[in-house]
Amino acid sequence: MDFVWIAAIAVMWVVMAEAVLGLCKLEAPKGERK
Amino acid sequence: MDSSAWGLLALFLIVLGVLAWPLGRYLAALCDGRLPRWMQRAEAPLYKLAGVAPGQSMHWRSYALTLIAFNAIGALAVYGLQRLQAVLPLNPAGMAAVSPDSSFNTAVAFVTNTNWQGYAGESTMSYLTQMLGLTVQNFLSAATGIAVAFALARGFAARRTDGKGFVGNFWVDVTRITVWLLLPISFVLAIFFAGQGVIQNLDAYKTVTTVEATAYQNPKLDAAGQPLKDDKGNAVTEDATTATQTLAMGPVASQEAIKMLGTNGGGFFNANSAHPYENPTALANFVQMLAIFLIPAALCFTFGRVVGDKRQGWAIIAAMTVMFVLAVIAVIPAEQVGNPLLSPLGVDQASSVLQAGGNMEGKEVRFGITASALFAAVTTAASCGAVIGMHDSFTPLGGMVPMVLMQLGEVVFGGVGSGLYGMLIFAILAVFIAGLMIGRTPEYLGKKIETHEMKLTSIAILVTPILVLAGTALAVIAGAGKAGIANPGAHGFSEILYALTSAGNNNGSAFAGLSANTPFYNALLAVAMWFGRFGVIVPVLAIAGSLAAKKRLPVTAGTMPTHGPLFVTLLIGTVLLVGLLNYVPALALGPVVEHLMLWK
Repeated sequence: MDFVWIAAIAVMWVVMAEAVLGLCKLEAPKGERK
Repeated sequence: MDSSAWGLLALFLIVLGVLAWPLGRYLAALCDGRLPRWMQRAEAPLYKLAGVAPGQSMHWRSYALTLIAFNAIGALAVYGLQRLQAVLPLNPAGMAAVSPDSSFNTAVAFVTNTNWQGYAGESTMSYLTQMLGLTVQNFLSAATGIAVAFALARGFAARRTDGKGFVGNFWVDVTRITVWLLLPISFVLAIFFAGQGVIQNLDAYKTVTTVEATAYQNPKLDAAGQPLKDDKGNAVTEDATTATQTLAMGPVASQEAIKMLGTNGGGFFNANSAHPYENPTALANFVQMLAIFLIPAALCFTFGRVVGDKRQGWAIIAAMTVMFVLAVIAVIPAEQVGNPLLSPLGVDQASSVLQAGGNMEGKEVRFGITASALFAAVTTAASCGAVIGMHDSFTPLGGMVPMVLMQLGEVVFGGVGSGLYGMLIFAILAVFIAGLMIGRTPEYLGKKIETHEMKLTSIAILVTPILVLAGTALAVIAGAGKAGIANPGAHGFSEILYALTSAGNNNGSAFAGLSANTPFYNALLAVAMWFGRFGVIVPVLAIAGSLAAKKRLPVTAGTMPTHGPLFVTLLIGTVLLVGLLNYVPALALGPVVEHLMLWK
């Protein structure tokens, strides 16, 4: 059971890290976005 | 409001201003890294030990990723401590391991500075968990919030355009804020609270014989430990008597200090600051309220100093103060007027020399309606969440005020750091709206506010309403959500709306009445807390980085002043407008309906 909740924390961590990287792409001028 | 209420409010604001001004100056030095040499020498070994280069500034992306990783590891640590507490030391009461879903909820709650508590501290947590898990996170989550405010202030203050968006060093910020701000003031506060009567020990709980036997109604629980209900949805109880009482002990004073100073709000005991061992005197109560607002107020002055224009800080704190006073003016009379259903029963609710009068249900009887209502406004204006009264028992309009204060985004002083950066996001929106009105490219503090910043501002402002309203909708649809309601109808809806509002805005206070220590609510509220915290912090740091990379333009005749009464009014209007547009429909279904039913 612990695995589920630890995984939930890890998933929330990854989602926010992805959000950071996503906003970085938003920062770049349109032509430079990948 | 009577004269004593006005007097208490005035005294509170005056003392707050006197304390916050010099602290703001000190915080500006911390933010700018202008530390005396002895401080730098003292902290140098910490950086060396951690392998941190204190002079190396981080790009906002690195700052954000480091911050999120740091807090996620903190959540895992708090989770592990709760699950393992039964086999760890400092557990004289023999507390069992906390359930997995509750551990998850509590870990996220304390890491996000929300401190929502689905559990009762004195019957759930060992001393080790309280000290090493919860209190440590009280410091670190507060430091995280202040660090983000520092980063945003640096973004505004940066004068050169280097195109790289460096906003400071997260490790240095958290270290300095913890070591040179939170720890020293918490130490002084803890000593003061202990002097007032707050306990500080590691003793086993004490069982004492009461003066007389006490009869009470004991709620019946089902196999899952949840209250049983009859066909009408009312709790099923049984008669019980007792002649003994268990007095919970613990290291309370040390946790109480940072609980207030860091706007954390998680009580050592279930009754929070209504417990005499947490908040023993009227003076302690007053100081607790001051401690909640101290850093959020000081940070406004810090902001003015860091950006090189103290008037900007005054404008921010003026907007906060006006909204706070309006809230206090709303909540105290709402409670003093009493409950209209009691008057026909012959209950005297008038204020006199013999009684406080008004709606005393759920109030801290030692301090009366004024102090209880003022505390409610303070704890929800700031994202603290400590309570001395049960907001569930306030009148519908009185209970709506704390809810609205949270729904405004916790920017009326707000949490440590989060209040300032939240209000600055609204300031960006305000100058954008003003720019649209006069047809100029909006600027704030010499930085052009362009499409990119507005996209990020929109994300930062909309994250919490989406979490709160979608979460509330889910809870009232799901059977597991409805099962937690103790009072069906409009009040039950308010209980759920309050819980999601509190979690999404990282306040942590509870309306009471909602049985939220279930897997459903533990998971739902944890998700709201996590994304309500970091879903705002990330775009704020992105704005900080974007602003740091911009050239600071000189003030010209065409620059809109952002330090005068006009801008303060515009800022207040923006905050209220966004709050009302987001939440009025939901409020209409809860407290507004309940008020109309009560006064029909």
